[in-house]
Amino acid sequence: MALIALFSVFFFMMFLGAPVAIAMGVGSMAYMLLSDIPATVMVFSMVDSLGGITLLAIPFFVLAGEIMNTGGVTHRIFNFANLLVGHVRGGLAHVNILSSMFFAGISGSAVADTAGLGRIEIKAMTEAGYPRPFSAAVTAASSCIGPIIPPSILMVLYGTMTDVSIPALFLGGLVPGVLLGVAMMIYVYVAGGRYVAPGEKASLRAIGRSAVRNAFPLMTPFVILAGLVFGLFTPTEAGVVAVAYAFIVSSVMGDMRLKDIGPMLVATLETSTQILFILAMSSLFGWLVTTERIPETLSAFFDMTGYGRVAFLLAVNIILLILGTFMSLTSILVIFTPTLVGMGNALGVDPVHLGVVVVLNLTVGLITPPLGWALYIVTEIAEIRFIDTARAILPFLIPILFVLFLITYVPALVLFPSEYLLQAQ
Amino acid sequence: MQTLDRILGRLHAIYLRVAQAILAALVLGVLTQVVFRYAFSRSILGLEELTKLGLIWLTFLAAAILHRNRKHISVSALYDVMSDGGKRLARAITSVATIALAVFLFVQMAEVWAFMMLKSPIYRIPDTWFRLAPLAAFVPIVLQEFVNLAMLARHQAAPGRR
Amino acid sequence: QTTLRLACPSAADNPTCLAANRFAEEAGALSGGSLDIQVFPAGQLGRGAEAIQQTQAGIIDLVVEDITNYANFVNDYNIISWGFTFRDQDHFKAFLESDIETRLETQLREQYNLRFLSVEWAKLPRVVVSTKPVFTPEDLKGLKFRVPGIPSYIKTWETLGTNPTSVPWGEAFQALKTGVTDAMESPLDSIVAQKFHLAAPYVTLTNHVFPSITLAINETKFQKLSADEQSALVEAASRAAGYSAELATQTEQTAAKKITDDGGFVISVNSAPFRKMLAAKASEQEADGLWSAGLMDEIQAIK
Ligand code: NA
Ligand code: NA
Repeated sequence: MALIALFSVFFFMMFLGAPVAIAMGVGSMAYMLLSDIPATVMVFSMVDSLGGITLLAIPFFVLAGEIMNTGGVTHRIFNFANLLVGHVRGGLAHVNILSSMFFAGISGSAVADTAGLGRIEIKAMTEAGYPRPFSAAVTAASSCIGPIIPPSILMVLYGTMTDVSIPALFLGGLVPGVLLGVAMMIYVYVAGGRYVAPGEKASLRAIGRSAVRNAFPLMTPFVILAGLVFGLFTPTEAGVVAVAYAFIVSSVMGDMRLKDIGPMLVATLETSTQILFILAMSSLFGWLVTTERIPETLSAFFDMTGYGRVAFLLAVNIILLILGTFMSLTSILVIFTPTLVGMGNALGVDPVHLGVVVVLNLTVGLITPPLGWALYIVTEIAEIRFIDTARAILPFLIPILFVLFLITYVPALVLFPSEYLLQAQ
Repeated sequence: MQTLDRILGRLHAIYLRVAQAILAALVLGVLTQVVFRYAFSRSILGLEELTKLGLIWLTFLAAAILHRNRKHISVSALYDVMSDGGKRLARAITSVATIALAVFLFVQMAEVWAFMMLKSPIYRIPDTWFRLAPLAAFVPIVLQEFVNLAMLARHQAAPGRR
Repeated sequence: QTTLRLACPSAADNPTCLAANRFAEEAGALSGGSLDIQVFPAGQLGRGAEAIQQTQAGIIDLVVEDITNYANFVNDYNIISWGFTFRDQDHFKAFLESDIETRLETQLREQYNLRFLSVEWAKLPRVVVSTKPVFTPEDLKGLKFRVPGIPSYIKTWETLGTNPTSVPWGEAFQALKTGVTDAMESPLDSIVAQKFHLAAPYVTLTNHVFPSITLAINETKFQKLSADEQSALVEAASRAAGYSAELATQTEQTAAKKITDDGGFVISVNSAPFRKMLAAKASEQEADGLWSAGLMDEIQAIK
């Protein structure tokens, strides 16, 4: 009863346009007024949910992406990708996807990708003669790679909420992220070829020169991953190392100035607080899920069907895909993670595997109409109608969903790098 | 109400400076930790207490700023297609609910205030310093909502939009 | 029927939470079904001082925690985790049953609204696990050493020459493995449970602290129960203590073997040099107010 009140009030407030965090708070308040749970718990849970030092990795990885965008590193990445794959059938569309893969290794979020890199990509593709809706769709679809290839803010969030190893989650995203890129490139090879002839093949010398010149930014993901795998630093420290690294690379190679620091800090505050405030205001919800024993009840249901694990994972995919069409990924992640992980544990699903599946599921929500966040950004940048972007994005869902189901039912694709590299535990 | 709005504007400018400073300090603090460990094989005892305090205050200070600027994540699909009257009603409900939530929170805080006797082990930071942060966010948020309601009643656009 | 929520910090299959489950069953049976105790393992409702604080505020009803965590409330509990305060397990047990402990317990009840139902759930003595072998205090010098966030632990390991570091319990394994820390100390059974010896192979049996697990209840809640329910709780807590002692004996027999089977080393040391260093500093800590004046002498006088 109280739980129904929580959800009705939450959805009601959310659809009235209230901030998601406030809607969650008001929903929790309704719950506590109707149940015998002491409402004072919110005073503790709100602040304690922000107590983990690992959460600091979120602003740090956001800041690293900001620095790369401001310092012009994004441009260099795009140019380098162009030398590599600009001549393949599908041309700049491949470049678009490959740059996102490179960028994903630096930035922890899809936001930084779409808003920073996306602007460069759409401009270049439009000038070369690609239809605007197609350019916008490639850009939106490829930005989904950002939270999958490490580092990833969503994985930090999932890891802190569940006590799952963040290095293991990061490594888990490696293969799915590359698969995503490759699957999209296959689609682009088939469909994108008809628009514009590809560019000329770059000489090996030109590629080599550019690779050397851009070696430092391109190496960022390896610096971060190696540091985590060999245990040179904790995830939080990895964030700060990424910031320092990005700062040095941008000041030496790009045109970063001291006066850029202030605005970058403001942008970082904005992006990370949007996430952290939702986490704080929804913290009570995690507490309720535990005390009401919701995961136990739900997993008993899946056990009853006789297909426990398989049915559960399928349900996770379907439910998250549906929720993702109208809710923000952070709020879905924060609200549903405690339930999903509790159920996963009861049904024997590896929490690292589940984390990567959940994050990929949520990222798809960025590009599913009617409320795909990335779709709105690219529509704005490309200056077209939303309906055209929406139509152009649909075919991209085929390679993405294919990869999603592949990693859902072949856990080894997610788990083998971490099992191989992080022994024991 | 306009005076109140001006005061809130000034308060948020201060909040922004403080939040920026905290973020910069967090970056430098953790960076120093890494450097210390490799250069001097020493770690900074109690850094965790300070970063925890920093992250909590950063979040709630910035949350107040985002609230005023309407930058928090929200779902606007339904709101966007409402009639003008519907929009005004939705905004009014949101404001009232936000105020109710804040008051509810204040009451709960007052109720457990007596139990905040812990101190952090190294710097002996009182628990209340951590637990006060939501207050710093929700006091200006409530005042802002009163301003918004007043503007709404006078058929003016809500202030604070950038 | 009264439902009570119990917070347990360890994994569900850890002896501490197994004892908590036993307590819940016994309490249910002894009260004739009028008490329904729900155990939440793995720190789901919080752990450490925070969990105790929420019990104090009545959000959680019962909490199972290491007794040294109560030093965050009643200062004098610091003396338990000051290294080598107790001669041996029997000395520690005598302390737990002494008037001194009752005095601290009363202070906790009157000032902090918390009542201990049992202070004697078993845990194995605390030992050192490190990446380099430790035979003497000299070997500890300069090691980055993980300590719990409790003042007396920090002071103890500072005195022994280490470089104390605070790392959350959940990240302790990774910290050892990656060199963020070189060593840490924990109960012997926790080392095996958390596989710390796979990250740092040297386990030195210092037995510097004899821990015990306490079961505490919110006093207001306790007073609201009927006399029958109250005695059911106390009796169930004491039966669970017996069960946890059985579990501890089992673990004690297997722990050392498990460590060496996994390729680790178990080092027995002469604790005298460690003990001497700490004894010399104890009066200084007492003067600094880490615990009340005279408490150390009082404890040493227990036969
Ligand atoms: Na990424
Ligand atoms: Na892209």
